Amino acid sequence: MKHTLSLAALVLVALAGTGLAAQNVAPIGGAATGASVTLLGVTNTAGRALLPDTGGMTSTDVDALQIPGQVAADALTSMTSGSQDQKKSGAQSVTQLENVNILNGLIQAGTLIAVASSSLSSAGATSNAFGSSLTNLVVNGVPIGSGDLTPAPNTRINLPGTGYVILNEQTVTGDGVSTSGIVVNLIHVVLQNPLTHLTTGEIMVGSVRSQVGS
Amino acid sequence: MNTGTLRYVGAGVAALLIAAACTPDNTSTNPTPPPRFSNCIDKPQTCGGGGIPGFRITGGGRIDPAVGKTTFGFNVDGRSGPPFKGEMEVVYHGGVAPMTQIHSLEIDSFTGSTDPRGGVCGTWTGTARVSDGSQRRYVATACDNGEPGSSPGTGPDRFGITVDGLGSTGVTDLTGGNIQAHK
Repeated sequence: MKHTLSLAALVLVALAGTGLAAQNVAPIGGAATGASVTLLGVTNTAGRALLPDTGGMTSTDVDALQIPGQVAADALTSMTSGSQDQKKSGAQSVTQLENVNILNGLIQAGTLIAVASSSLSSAGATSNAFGSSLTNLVVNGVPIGSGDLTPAPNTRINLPGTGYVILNEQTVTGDGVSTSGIVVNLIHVVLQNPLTHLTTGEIMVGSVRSQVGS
Repeated sequence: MNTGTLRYVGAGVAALLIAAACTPDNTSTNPTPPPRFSNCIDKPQTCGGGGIPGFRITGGGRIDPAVGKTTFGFNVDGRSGPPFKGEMEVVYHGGVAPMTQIHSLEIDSFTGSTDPRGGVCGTWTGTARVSDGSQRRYVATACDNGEPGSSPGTGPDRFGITVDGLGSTGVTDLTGGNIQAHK
């Protein structure tokens, strides 16, 4: 009887330890999307990779992306990966496209790379968009810089008669201690009615998300 | 080229990459000599400075080696094989073609080692499908040197891949993204 009780106690301690360990593993999240277009409340998405809750890696390839009249691009690859244990957690998402053409040439880029990365360790939680860039970007017929360019976060350029575009749109979340996340939309076009300026739709190309902690 | 030859070539490339991964950091002032890596290829999972058993390594992001910007993502469990469970995709934007996709099909060796920067490196070899539809041998190395894994152009994490017949990025500081080893 004494041995039975001791064994039961050991099992309980082991289970408690397992539960504690499970609680200490911070959740992670990630997603990478090549392009999405929302018109009349309907969203059309291409090249989306979603990170499972348990971590790992997923990827999606699209040789030729075509959302007629809205977005065209070649060689789309979206990847997201992540892992976690009691010491540290991380999630990172990447999407890249070649020969990007939005709204029949209104916005063009040679190569688009969007990167989001979040990590959690004993030093805290942090997120960034390092590595994101656009090559040979042209907006409304005007070259924006030259070669590989990373626009300042949340750069807005008006598109007369169409709306406006936000380049390198970044939204950071979390407390920086136990949670952190970032959403990056490298090109975010907001379509507006030219008379009322009411939003009629949006186009996002190069969207990535990563997060650690809940 | 038969399978045995491919494995021999892959092991040779792996040895070169491990040597590259373990080259002392020029910016380091640490006088400690670099670890020795003899017989690493013969003792997968347990070689490296101090002998590191297999571990899980996950990462993604971007490097900008001389051969052209490269993006990558991977998740490899170095405790699970051989063959080892895992996935890897690399997109190389340089060279003659506008880009080259490298998609891992099989991982048949995994080696752990220490990085002179103080972290840990995983090197794995396998077979990948590339953009032209062919299957080629590759060796990839990823090094986790702390959090976060990248600041623009300076790492500290590193990644590199060599693909037979296509070339090598060299083990290069991350421009973006992160690598985490879970031991």
